[in-house]
Amino acid sequence: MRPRLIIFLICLAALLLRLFTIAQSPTFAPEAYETMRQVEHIRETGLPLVNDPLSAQSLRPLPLFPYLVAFGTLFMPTNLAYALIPNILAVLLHAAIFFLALELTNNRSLAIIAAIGSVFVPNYLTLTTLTVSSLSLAIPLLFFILTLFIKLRKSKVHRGALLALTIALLASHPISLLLAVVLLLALILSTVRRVSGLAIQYEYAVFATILIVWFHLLFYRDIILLHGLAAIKGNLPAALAPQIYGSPTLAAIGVTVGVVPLALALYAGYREGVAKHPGIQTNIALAAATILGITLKLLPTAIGATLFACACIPLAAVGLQHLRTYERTLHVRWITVLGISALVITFMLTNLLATVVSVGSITESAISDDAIKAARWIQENSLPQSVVLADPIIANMIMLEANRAVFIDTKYTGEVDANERYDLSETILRDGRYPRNSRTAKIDYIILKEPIRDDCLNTVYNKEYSVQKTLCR
Amino acid sequence: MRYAVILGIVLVTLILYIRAPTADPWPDVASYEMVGLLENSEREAPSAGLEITRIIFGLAPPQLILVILATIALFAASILRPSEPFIVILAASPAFLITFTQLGITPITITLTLIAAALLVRGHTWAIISIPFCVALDAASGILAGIVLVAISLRQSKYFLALSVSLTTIVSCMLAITLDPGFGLTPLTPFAFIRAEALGIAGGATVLTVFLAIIGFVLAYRTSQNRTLLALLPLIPLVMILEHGAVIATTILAFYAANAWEYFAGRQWSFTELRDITLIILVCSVLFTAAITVRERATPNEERIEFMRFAHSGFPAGSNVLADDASEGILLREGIVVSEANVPADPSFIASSLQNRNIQYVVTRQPNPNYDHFQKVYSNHFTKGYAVYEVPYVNN
Repeated sequence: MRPRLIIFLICLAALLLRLFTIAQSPTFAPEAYETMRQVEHIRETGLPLVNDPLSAQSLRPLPLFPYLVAFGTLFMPTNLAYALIPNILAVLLHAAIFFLALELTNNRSLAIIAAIGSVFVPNYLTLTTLTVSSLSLAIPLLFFILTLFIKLRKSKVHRGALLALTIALLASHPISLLLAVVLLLALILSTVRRVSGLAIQYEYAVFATILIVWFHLLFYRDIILLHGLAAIKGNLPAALAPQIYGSPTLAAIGVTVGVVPLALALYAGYREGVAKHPGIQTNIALAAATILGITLKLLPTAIGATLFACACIPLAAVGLQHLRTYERTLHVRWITVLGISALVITFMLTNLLATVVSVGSITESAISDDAIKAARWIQENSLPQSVVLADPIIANMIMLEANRAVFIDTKYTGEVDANERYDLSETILRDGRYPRNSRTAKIDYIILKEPIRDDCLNTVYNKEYSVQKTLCR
Repeated sequence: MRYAVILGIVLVTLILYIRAPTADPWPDVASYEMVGLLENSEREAPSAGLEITRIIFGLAPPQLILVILATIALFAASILRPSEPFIVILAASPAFLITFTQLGITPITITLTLIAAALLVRGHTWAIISIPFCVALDAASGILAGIVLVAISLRQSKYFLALSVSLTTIVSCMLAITLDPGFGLTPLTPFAFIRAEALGIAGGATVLTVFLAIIGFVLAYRTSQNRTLLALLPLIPLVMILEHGAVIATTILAFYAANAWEYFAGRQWSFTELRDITLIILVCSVLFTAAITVRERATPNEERIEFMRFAHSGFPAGSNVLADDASEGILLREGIVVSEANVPADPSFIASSLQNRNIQYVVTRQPNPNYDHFQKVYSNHFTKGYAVYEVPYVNN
């Protein structure tokens, strides 16, 4: 069978797995509603939502992904576009991994194995299935760029494609900053190993780094001037930072990547750590940059771990190639059979099992239908200028469904004191206390699961989620 | 070359002449002190430097004088280094546009410094006579001119000349202090370097200029292996410590950035498409920064216009006012006595502390100052607008 057909089938199978997961849930994950609001705004005005009237935060949306989804809504029902387009884009990663692994090993079978392995990265499924996230576009783009970067000398078409994809990544997600770090690390490795004939790679790397850094400084200028270095983490409240930028344990990384790919990638790193192959150096640079990003708490753990897992898969293919070469020198068949069986069984027990578990957790993470009903109740029964307090994670859903301003959401880049707002929302939502101060006077409704017993709060809607109206002014 | 110079002149003229017909013709509040001196020829200037500046700006409409000064400065810079990228980066930089659109001593001293530097580069050692002139206008500018000329002398390996320039600067400053006891080094502002708006980091593109300058410096060092070049590096933060040094620092950055620009334009690229894209990005970034600066500088400030109307007649004659940089120039224009004082942190001591210094009013743009309990005599309705508080009488 032709490799391209096989890759197409792998992508199709991955897409079916994703669509099966989506079919289990009537709603989307909370993160999806941010993109949905952007898409709705683009559909209505043709422009992305920048000055959000419903949030105190300043938005800086990178527009490519919302525009792609909005374009899709021209040809299919909106909900189908939200489900289909991000997942079609996301499965392109498997093709990117195939081409990258093919470039590293020069072996189609191993490249196909790598592409199949990449389907079973549980974190990638969690991050991109129900979330309508721009990561569905950015992560495949990152891997296509790295593949083209390695093949750069070969064709003029590659050069044009590389430039186009770099600009697309720039307009998709801030992980383009990671690309700059990876390119610089790869160049440092090449310089240390005195690899010659990489002038074109040097030129592209320096150009891309300057372009990416300049673009981000320009794009996030106001936020940087307002918050300084805290802007790197989006001015996240101190109490919230450990949840998003935590340090994962080795066991957690093992689960994310899978025992077999991690072991094979480490083996490849051991064998190729001092390699002169620019592709392997670039891949090692990506793995190192993600680990560095997680350790220095500059990269959200979920994104960092996913990228690390994806970087390990092509390296695992290289590890497998070394293992095969070693096995051929032994000329003992039962060792080969035993080795392959052990790898397959371990892969099934770890990656496949983790994938099945993650499919279940994805559907559980979707927003409850009752929360949406509570938001719609507010839209029908409150004044347009009302302010709603709810768990920040469902704030975007409330803004979309209730069309009301929220007291706090998942962005903290506005002029308001993020820590103060977050602490106040935690006191009300987690501790179940309603403090009486000027800040709370700005809240009109509270949505939460368990109503708070307080003289200042009147429960006006009470189902699985309750809506309470504030009375003290 | 002349197109680059014309670009600079056009940008400065745009800001000055778009803004001139409005009620708020100057982008900087500090300019209004000079406006007051020009409007009232009988009023005594607070320093010799301001008196000389009044004479110069009184020769013709001040906007015209500033355009002439900007033109001379750019021509001097083009002698310093005959390179189009250098002049374009300098002329479109926020620091240059800010300097040549304010009514004050700085545009004159910067022009003098650039002329002296250009003459010295051409081998005319008599350029050092500019130092006493600069010192006469402003001590900090004199020191700045001294630093620049010493640096050029060192670069030309003229060590005796460097010594002469240093001595001239020191002696000029000492003489000025002896003749005028009120003469000080007040414009010295530590870490003016960090001022984002002066450096244009707010515009973003100057960050690109810094990148380019670093690349350009490395290229220059690799070509010449000149160790004096390394010795000149600390000059950049040093000149920025002087408040007026931002434009000189930008000149140094533009000087090296032009190296990188010319290198990118002339290099034999392996990735051939990158050459044109790089040059397009460079041009766009320079124009983008200039556009942002022109837009910000050419837009009149509504709150300020309202406050200027109040300041014209709202304060009783002989009032003593505590004011910050955002209002000082406007008050000085009206001949109001402006004082400086530290406001105590404890609100109960503020009134007595200000009363001891004979201060009757406080002008601020802070939304909730700790003397908010004073009677508010005036406030304008715009966000972050001006507010005037009357200091209450306290029986000590």
